[in-house]
Amino acid sequence: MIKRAQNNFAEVWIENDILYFVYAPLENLSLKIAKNLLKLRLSIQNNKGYPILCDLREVIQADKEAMDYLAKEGSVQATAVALLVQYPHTKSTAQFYLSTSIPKVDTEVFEDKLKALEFLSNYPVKN
Amino acid sequence: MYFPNDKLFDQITHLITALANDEYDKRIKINKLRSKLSTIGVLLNMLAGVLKLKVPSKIPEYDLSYLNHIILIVEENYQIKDYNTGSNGLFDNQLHNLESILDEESLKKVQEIMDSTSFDRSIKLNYRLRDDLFLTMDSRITKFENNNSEVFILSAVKTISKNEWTKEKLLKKALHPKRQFDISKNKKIIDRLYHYLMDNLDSPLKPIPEIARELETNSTVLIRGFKAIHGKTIASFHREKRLEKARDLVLDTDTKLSNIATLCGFGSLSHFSRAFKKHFGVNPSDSR
Repeated sequence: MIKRAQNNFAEVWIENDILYFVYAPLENLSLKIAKNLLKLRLSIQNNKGYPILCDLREVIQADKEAMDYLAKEGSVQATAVALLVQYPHTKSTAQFYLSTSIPKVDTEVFEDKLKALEFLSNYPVKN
Repeated sequence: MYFPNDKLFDQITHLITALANDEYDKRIKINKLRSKLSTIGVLLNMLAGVLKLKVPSKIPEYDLSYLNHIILIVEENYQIKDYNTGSNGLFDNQLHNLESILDEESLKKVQEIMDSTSFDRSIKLNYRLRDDLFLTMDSRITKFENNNSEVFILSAVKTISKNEWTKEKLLKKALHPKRQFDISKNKKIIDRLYHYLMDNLDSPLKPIPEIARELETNSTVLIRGFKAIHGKTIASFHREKRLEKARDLVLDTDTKLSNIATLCGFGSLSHFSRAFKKHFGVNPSDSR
């Protein structure tokens, strides 16, 4: 069964023990939106920790407060995060995020979805 | 060598200059990615956000700033009828119509408020400044009737750094100096207060006069000095640090939530949960 939820900013679903998190086109990711999105994700997780494939390719920029929030509180119930990006834009912004906000769970940047899924396969679901 | 005009390139140079002058609130408006220059612009915006959080605490002297108040009188069709001198300093000669100083998203917010009956709330609007950079300011709109037509007052506040002050203001300040808080003289006592607060994260904040007695100083020095150096009030700093300690305990240990509440100076689990949710946006129980 695929669990799924959606709002104006993103769509999330769980499939084959991976949580897919796909951002909608977004000019600026603010703290308010980040809080809203964490709530959306937790709503389908049933208190389990999942490896997350986070597709950032449609996000233009993010506020520092939002990045810090996602790196700390946004790591709850996540066993690892693969950030799916595109060269040059989201690859640069994602690397900026990793080096300035330092997420609490293992997080890596990928341009290739298959490689991202391979990375996540090392991090099983946590009950 | 000839280079055609490039608006984004100009905005990038303006933002670099602003950052060099300790102005960390300005941003480049980028709503579409047109070239690699857009990525540079976004990274500069993000860098400004990082510097804003980091630099004032390192160089507290630079934190002394001046509050500028903008007041615009606007008609329903966004025409600006009148404005105060503070507005003129920020926008130069663009003050004819709101469309020339607000971005699209902000105009939508303004329209929503003009159409509604509820004016009693603050909104964040993005203003286009004279250097073509954008600044987000807390704003408020109120309505009044003038000769049977509706007119709106749009007000906003912004702190600007010393180097943005006009010559007139500097002259006025020199002629009528106000006694400023002497940071260097009181730095040691504020450092002691900082350590006192960090050592007492397991209990609610005592009244400031009581802390002042314990540190053998007076309340005014503590209140003004702490704000000048750390950029926030003693109470908000202490609450924030207690919640950060609680967050680390929630995320990194198996300690019971009721024990974490006690360890971080909250009277009850429900009080702790409410404060945690308000600050971080999630319940502590959901964070594990």
